[in-house]
This record gives sequence, structure tokens and C-alpha cells, in this order.
Amino acid sequence: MMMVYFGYFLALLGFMALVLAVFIWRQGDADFLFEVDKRSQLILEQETPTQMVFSFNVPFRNRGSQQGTLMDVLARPWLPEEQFSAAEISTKVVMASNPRMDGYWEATLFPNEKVQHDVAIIKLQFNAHGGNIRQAMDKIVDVPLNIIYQVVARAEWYLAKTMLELPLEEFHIAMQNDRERKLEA
Amino acid sequence: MEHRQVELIPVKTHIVTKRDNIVDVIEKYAGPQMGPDDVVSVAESVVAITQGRYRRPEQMSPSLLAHVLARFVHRDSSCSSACGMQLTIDEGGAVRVLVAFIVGGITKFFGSSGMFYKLAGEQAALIDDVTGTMPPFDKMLVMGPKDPGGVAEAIKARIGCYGAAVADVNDLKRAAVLGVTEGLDPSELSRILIDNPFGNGNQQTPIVIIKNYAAAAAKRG
Repeated sequence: MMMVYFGYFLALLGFMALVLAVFIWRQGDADFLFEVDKRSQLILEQETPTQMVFSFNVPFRNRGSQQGTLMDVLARPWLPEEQFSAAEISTKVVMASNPRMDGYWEATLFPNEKVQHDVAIIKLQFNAHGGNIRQAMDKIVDVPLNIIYQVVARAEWYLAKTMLELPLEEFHIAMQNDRERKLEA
Repeated sequence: MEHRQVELIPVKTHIVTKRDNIVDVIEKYAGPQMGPDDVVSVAESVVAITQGRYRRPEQMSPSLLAHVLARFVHRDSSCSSACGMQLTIDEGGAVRVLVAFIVGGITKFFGSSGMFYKLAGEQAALIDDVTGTMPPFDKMLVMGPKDPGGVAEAIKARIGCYGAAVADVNDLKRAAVLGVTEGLDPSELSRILIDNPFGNGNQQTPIVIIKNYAAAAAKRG
């Protein structure tokens, strides 16, 4: 008899665990999406004889079912010196709604609405190794870039990434546009 | 007490960290402006930070209990994340938090909310989840301070002012005084601080001097 009651107890526990699992599954969590297919074209923001800063925008949103915090966002280029050694590249990611110039991504809570929430402004700074940035950028190649982001929401924190590629033609177009703009001015 | 008679002076500081002693900070920034009739109040999160009472989510491994309970808490609560709930469990104890959760759920069913926070320990309501504090602590969960009354007494002893208080104040018209020196009325201080003279975190004014508090109290009394 005791074993029967114990069996009922185990069955009850199992049923409760199942209900809980279904509840958590239905509740879901935050799910951030960086819409790289909607990114803007590169623009040349700044130029000195030894340095160029390009930037472009990527909209992002929380398409999940819970609000969530973007703890950090960074851009990581995959550009080995075997492929491009004329300049050193560094990156900065700035939130359009809270633009900080120090490169620090302030942890921000985003609601779970199915709309565009904000825009990440990604800046790429090239410092010429040989001293002449124009000559260095003539050798630019396609630049694969990872957008890496850390999320904290209902569940434990996690890192995720989205990849995009900046074609070399876009760098040349941005430089050409900048030249024309300067000529017009 | 007539609040018109007291003057509230927010005091800007550097970014306070665990390397700081809160009494030293108050002496440095507020001390020169303080008189024997004044009360100094300090934001509880800053006191907690000087006590090292904060954790990064990356340093935590939330238990199964934290993962499950967090799912049932309102999304705006600091306990709604697994890490926030784990911190509540670490501070209050797993059994206490579980009992608070069950009782809180039952009372909520009958229309009374907030019981979880009353039963789970005072830290449950004081924890600030990530984004709750200004950079660089925006990426950390900040707990409430330990021994706020003792901190207030230490401040008073050093500064020689009329009194001191450790307060939790926000822009939502919520002001809770967690610790005061002997003779001060926490509810009176809560009313004085209700409009959040500390401002938001980015203003870096975690100290508020309540000028002429004693004189105003004497006049009133």
C-alpha cells in the first residue's frame, strides 16, 4: 500500500514538473536580433593622413516574449595580417539612443515589442602602419565582422553573435563619396 | 516639521567603489558644508558598493530553485531574473525564500500583493538588478547595505552633525529610510526625501545634506 501512495506521489511530482516546464516554455525569454540585412552603407566619418574612421548603423530589437538587458555589444573584425597588414583596425559600438564617446556600452533594458528598438552605430578605425592611410586603404579587402552581444533576461546570461561582411567596394565608395563631398565644399 | 524650513543640498562625489570608505567620502565632500543642525543622508546603493555588496551575473550560477521562482515574479522586479532571485536566496536562505514565495502566491491570489518581499528578507526588496545602478555598476547586481544603522552612527560620529541616514529613494515617489541615527524619525526623513533629491545615478550626487533639520524640528516641536 505504501508503495502505491509513493507511486502516486512520484506521479504528482512528475506532473507538476511537466506543468512547470510547459509554463516556462510558453513564457519564453528575451531574444535580440541585430538586423544586419537592414544595415546602412559605410560612410567615412573622419580622415587624417594616418587614420580613417568609417561607420555604419545596424538596427536591433528584442523579438522575444520577455524584456531583456543588452549588457554589452562589441564588434569583432576577422582581418588577419596575412590578408591585410597595411593598417590596424579597432572598433567601437555606440547605442544611438545613448551615444557615449568612451566606447562603453551601458547595460540597457529593452521591452519585448515587435518593433525596431534602437540602432547600434559601429565605428571602424584604421591606423596605417606605413603612415599613409590612403595608400593603406587601397589594399583593403572584404571585412568579415562579428557583432557579439551579451544578454541578461529571465534565464541565465548568455553571449550570442551575428556576422556580416563589409565588401571592399563599400570602403572605396565611402572614400570616393567623401572626396566628392570635400570637392563640393 | 515644515519641509519648507529645511534645505536639501545634493552633493556630487567621484564614482564611489569598494575601495572607498563611505564615512571618508561623506567627510570629504559633505563635511565642509555640514553644521551641527544638519542631517546627512546617503543613497543605500552607494553604501552597499563601498561594502563590496555587488555581484556580476558572470560570477553567479543560479540554482534550479532560482530559475523556477524567477519565472513567477513580475518582470519589473529585480527578482525576475535567475541571478536576481539567486541573490535573494543567498541573502535570505532557500527555505525562507521558498516559504515566502508560496505564502506570497497564496495571498496574491486573494488580492494582497507584496507579501513575498515582506517575508523573503529585507534584501529581497533592496536588490538592484543589472541596469539599476549607474556605470560601471550597471553591469552588476547591487544588494542592500549591511548594518545601515551602524553606518549612519559612524557618519554622525565622524562629522559631528545632528544626524545621519541611509536611504533608498527613487523617482517613483518611493523613499525608504533603512538606517538612522538615534533620535531621528525615519518616516519624517522619508517625507523630506520623497522627491528624490539624489537625482538619477548619472548626476553622481549620492549624498544629500538636509540643512537646518534640528532647528526646524525645534521650531516645530
